[in-house]
Amino acid sequence: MHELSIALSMIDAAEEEAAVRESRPPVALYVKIGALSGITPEALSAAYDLAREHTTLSDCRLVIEHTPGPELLLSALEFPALEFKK
Amino acid sequence: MSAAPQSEPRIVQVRRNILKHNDEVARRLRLRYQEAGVFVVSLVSSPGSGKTAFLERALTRLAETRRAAALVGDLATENDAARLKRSGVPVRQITTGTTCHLDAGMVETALAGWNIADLDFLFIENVGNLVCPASFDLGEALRIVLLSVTEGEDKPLKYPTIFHSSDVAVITKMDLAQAVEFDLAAAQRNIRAVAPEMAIHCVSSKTGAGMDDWLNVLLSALRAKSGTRALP
Repeated sequence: MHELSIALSMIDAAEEEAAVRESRPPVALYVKIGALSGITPEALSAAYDLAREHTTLSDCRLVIEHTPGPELLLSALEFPALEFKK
Repeated sequence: MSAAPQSEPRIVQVRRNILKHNDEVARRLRLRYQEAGVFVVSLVSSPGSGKTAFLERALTRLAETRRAAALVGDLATENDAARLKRSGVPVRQITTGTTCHLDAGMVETALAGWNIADLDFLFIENVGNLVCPASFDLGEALRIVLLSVTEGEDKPLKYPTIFHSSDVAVITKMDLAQAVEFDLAAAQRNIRAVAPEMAIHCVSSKTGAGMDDWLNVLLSALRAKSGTRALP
């Protein structure tokens, strides 16, 4: 039930981390969700889909890696390839 | 025809705790509690397992010799706060609306303008929920999980995370144990299967049985803490 809170925290964290690295929004978030974290990955995915609307992450995928421990970690951000005009 | 040249997508490692913000607020609270010399205890359990009755009894007893106060989280109503006020200690309600847990920010807001240095104990009664409160550090020194005899012995196995995140387990409503054929040994085994080092206490808030032991635990925790606080 608290996955929406977690999704909102995750979006805030990702936006903050993205802003200090690149001016463009990321295209994917990589998170690690531990089996002991108390978070259901499916519920987090669903909550993220609701929460990301109208944020800079509205087109950003969520990639969840399952781990055995208590982790609740934003592990990486993927930024889009740069296109160079000819 | 060649495509426009393009760099590779770039993956940047961040490795940041998703609850970093909550953890930062909790750290700030923990420092504030330490500086104020107040021992903060939070209570978690499922709805109806007797948090408020337990706290009411504990506050009434503690108030005889110590200064105590309570923060109470609930989705709606101030019923629990009204009940706890009967113990004569200061009580503040946190109404969370639809949020199923307290977070550190809510506690910080509720404490605004409250001189906690006047207190020996502050109790924080979380929203009745065995799932969501587990993830949120409130800066407390001790987290107690309550399990009532009417809930069945296997709750710890069904909700391992909350038991894992707590420091002490208290089995409540022991006066009903016989009537519901509660198997204490099985409950203890199940708690320890999830949290092997967990201290377990049995109480009845109705008759007061077991409360002395439990209050002694709190008082010695406070004394131990006062000792460390005297160090530079």
